[in-house]
Amino acid sequence: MASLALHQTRSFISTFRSSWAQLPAAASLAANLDLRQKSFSWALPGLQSLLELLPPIVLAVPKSKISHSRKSMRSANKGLKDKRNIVNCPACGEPKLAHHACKACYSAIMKRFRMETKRLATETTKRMSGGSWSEVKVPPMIESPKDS
Amino acid sequence: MKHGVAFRKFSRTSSHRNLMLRNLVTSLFEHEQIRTTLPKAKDTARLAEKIITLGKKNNETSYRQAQAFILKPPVLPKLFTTFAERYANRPGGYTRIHRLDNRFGDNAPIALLELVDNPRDFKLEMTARAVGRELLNEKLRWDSPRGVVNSGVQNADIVVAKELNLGGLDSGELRPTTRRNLQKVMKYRGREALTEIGAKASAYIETILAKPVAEAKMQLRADSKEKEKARKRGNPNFVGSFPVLPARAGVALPGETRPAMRLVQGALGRPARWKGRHALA
Repeated sequence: MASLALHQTRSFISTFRSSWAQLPAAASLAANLDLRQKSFSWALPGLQSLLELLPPIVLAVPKSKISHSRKSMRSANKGLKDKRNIVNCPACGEPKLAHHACKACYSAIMKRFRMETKRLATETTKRMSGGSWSEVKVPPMIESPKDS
Repeated sequence: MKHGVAFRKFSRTSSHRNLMLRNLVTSLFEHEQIRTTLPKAKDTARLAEKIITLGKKNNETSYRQAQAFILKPPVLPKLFTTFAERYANRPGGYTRIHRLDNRFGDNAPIALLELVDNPRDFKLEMTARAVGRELLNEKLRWDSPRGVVNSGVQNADIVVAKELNLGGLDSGELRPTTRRNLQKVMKYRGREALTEIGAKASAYIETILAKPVAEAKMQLRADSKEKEKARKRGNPNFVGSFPVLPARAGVALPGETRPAMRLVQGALGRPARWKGRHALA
């Protein structure tokens, strides 16, 4: 196959040379080409020829369909791992991650802060505007069970 | 390799990164408590503490340096008055980072970055709650829940004051971890903080004791609503019980001492080990 390629390229070059030799300016060039062709005797091989030269064992391909059993065996270690850093919140008793803040307590506390801010804002506006409610002291809020 | 390099890049150019951190520090000084991603919180904490040191120095140079850093002018006087006197005796460590849950959209670890001893100190709140719960647990060892409701938990602040002087291995009302947290929180605070913690602990005990009653009431209300809806639909014999608050696994009720992993693995279904410290009758 390589020799065939070589022959093909050689004949191609010879036709090219003959068409070139007709031009007076390219005569010297054609002579150079001739010389060059004589020293390099092999042509550039194509990809197809390379692939055919290599033995088939080098190109990796699965020989057969992986069975269900073998596929499952390979996936045995890929499952999600259990979290073992679960502790009880010392405040509300709900499960939480170790070294993290308790989600329920955090949201309850933040909610109470927001309510207090809102209450203070409305109180100050009421106090500034005046009225019967401006002297009444509001007791500190105890959270509803839904929050904590 | 990144061996020993102390700074994070945050996938931003240097100018963007510096401005972002300046913004975060300014917001922290303005609100005294911010919620951001954990790496940003760590870098912001480091910078914020240096700026608070400038505030503590309280001279012309430090004022100009802080002025060049803080992006909101109203925050600057706060740095030299409020924070300087709040942290006058504290040698460093003016910020605290609490790890929160991961964010929903990208699972980024989120943190709460707060200034220590601020009016809305999260650690103080959690410690007060833990103290309240542990005092209640201690009461429930000797008394039934109804008895505790009738008698109440008195003198929370006296108990708390006693705990301040105990060491790690001494026996008292609180667990060692809670005691340590209480001592840390009270270290640079005055006596009025004790009464504050005592009041918060008592309020939280009331909340815990009221929880089953309130839950039962909410359940009754939800049931009656469902019954009303069914009656309107033309089904008068409807009887249903819809759980309003979902049953959560692994929740430790007051008085529970078994660890969470054991509860989650089914310890509630097995008989508890009787320690024999009180009469059964």
